[in-house]
Amino acid sequence: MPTERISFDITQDALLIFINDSHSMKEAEATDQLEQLFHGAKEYLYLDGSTVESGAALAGKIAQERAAYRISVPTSNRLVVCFWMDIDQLTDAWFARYQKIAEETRRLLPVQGYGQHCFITCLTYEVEMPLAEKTPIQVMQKFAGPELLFSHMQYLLYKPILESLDRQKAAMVQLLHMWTRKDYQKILDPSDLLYMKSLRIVNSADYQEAEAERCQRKIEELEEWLNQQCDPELENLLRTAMTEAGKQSVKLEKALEYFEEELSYLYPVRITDYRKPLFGKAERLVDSGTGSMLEKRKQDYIQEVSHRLLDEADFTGIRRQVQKLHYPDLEKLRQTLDQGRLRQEFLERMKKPGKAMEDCVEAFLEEWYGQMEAAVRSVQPEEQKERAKQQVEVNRQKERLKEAGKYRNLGDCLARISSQVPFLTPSEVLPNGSNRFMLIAGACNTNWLVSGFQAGGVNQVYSYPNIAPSEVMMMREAPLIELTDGRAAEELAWILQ
Amino acid sequence: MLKDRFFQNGNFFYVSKEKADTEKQLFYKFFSLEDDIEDLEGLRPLNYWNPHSEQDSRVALETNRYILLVEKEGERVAEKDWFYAESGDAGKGLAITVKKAKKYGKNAYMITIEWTSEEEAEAINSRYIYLYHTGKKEKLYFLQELIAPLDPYGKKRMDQYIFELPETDSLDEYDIRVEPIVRKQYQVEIDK
Repeated sequence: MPTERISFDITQDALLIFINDSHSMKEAEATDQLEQLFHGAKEYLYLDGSTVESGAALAGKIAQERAAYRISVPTSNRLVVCFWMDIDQLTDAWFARYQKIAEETRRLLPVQGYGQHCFITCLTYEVEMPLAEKTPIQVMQKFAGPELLFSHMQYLLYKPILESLDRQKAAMVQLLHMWTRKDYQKILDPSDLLYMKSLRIVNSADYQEAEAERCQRKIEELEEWLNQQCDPELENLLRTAMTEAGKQSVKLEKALEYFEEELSYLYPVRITDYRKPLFGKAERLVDSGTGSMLEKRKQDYIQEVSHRLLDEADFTGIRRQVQKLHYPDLEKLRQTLDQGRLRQEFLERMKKPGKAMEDCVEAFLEEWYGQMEAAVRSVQPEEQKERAKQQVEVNRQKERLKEAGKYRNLGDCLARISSQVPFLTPSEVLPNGSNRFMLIAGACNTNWLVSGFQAGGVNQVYSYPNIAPSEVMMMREAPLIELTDGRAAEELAWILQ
Repeated sequence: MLKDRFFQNGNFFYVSKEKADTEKQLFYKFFSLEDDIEDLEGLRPLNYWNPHSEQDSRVALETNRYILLVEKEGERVAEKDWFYAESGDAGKGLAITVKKAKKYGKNAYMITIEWTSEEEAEAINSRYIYLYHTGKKEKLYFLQELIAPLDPYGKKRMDQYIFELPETDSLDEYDIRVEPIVRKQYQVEIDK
């Protein structure tokens, strides 16, 4: 059974006020993210924190922008106010301002029906900038206090060393978008105290079908390049070399046989080496002198033949193969050469079982091996360096692509995505339960319906028309610490230092 | 080429450098027809020609006028050539005849090498005279270290060899070849 999809009405139901109090987040970065989701700037209002001192000021701004038709306030009059800030800015003064703005706004822009304004604080915490004092912890605890009478939520966006905040930011902006939609109550119950009285964390992952396809294609291209460019098996080189050398040494063996059987009789022998009977045919004596001379001639003859064979032999194939070896293989080959193992292996493999190799054939093979070795040594150090560089670059590119196109296809994505969205939690504190939901739209949705893929570990799947048709977005959010808990201060201190 | 750099001046010879900064080393030895030219033992070092130090860079010719010059680059032989310090025409005679010799086999032939001049018959290394198969381009050397008169004090000073052709072969396919090195001293007549 395919997982059931919940439809999500994305008609605008609230105006998003994005107040940037953070000194690490640039305006361009924030508006970029917002614009991607809130098509056109009309559904949100970006404000610099320093320009919003009170609820009246905020209401004034809204009225002003609305009058100029730069924003549209939905009939519900609902506001989602997001304060984006760094954790060290969390001071008593800030909290007082926050409280004031929230209270005043509630009075100035009364909401109708069940809807309520919603106030969110997003606190970014970077390990590179550890907290100098305990104030933020004390202030954070105030969020759990009874004096706050409006809907509010607080999120911790955590950045460990070298890890990127991007996925958490994307998740946060997506949540902001969802809370400003008509069906926001499907994921958020404004009266749920667990939301209000806890510090939450969030993360997301997304799968872009087109991007995954592109990455997959590119990876295949790179792999093909690697295969074409390199011959990963040294074995191949040795095999080619041996096939070639084998052909030549067969010729040499034939020449030897020919010498033994036919040629040796043709060498003129001095008449003193014949026994001459009175009658009948003279008989050739094989005395030691003639025998050793014949042996010498045999050596000369074979040497001549082997020179000819070496001249004939085409070493370009071997050379080409060596040229194609990629860097690690070339290094390995050189090591094998230096240890003398290649020579040993080459000669041993050429020996035919049960047949002792003639000295001269062995000499020929030595020469042959020498040519092969020369081909390997002829690769210049600069070229080697170049090849190593190229190799590293290709591998790096491949890794990047693998990371970008983590999932090969939709089925793969649905099967794995939920388990692959880890929370980045400070220290070893783990969130208490988590809410996993998936947004899906367009072609992916249809594809999923047709193929009947199973998505594991997902609580809800929303049909969310706002995201790209070939995209799947997986979100995870969970309470990290319940601020009402007696140990909250202790736990906060533990994770924030 | 070594040939272009070898000079003979009266009773001396010298060799000039290929180029000024050459790293090659020069060696020489005198040899006779008895010696195998491929044998590089007994080489002596020689300086390239230097007009300011003539004594060190020229060699007096010996009665034996064959000179082997070898240029080496490290251990490797870069170039090798032989020279004969000319002293007129080749004066001695050598007659080579090939005849059928049934007594030694059905298709057996005898090669006779005869020293025809009055002078003492000098032994010749068997590398310089050989039977040659023109079709297969094979050199068939005599199975003796030296070709020398069987009886140096006999009436005729000659050496004789037997070879047996395969039944399918004819003598027309074979030649007797004599290396130029021999022809420097001998007028060679071949009768086949």
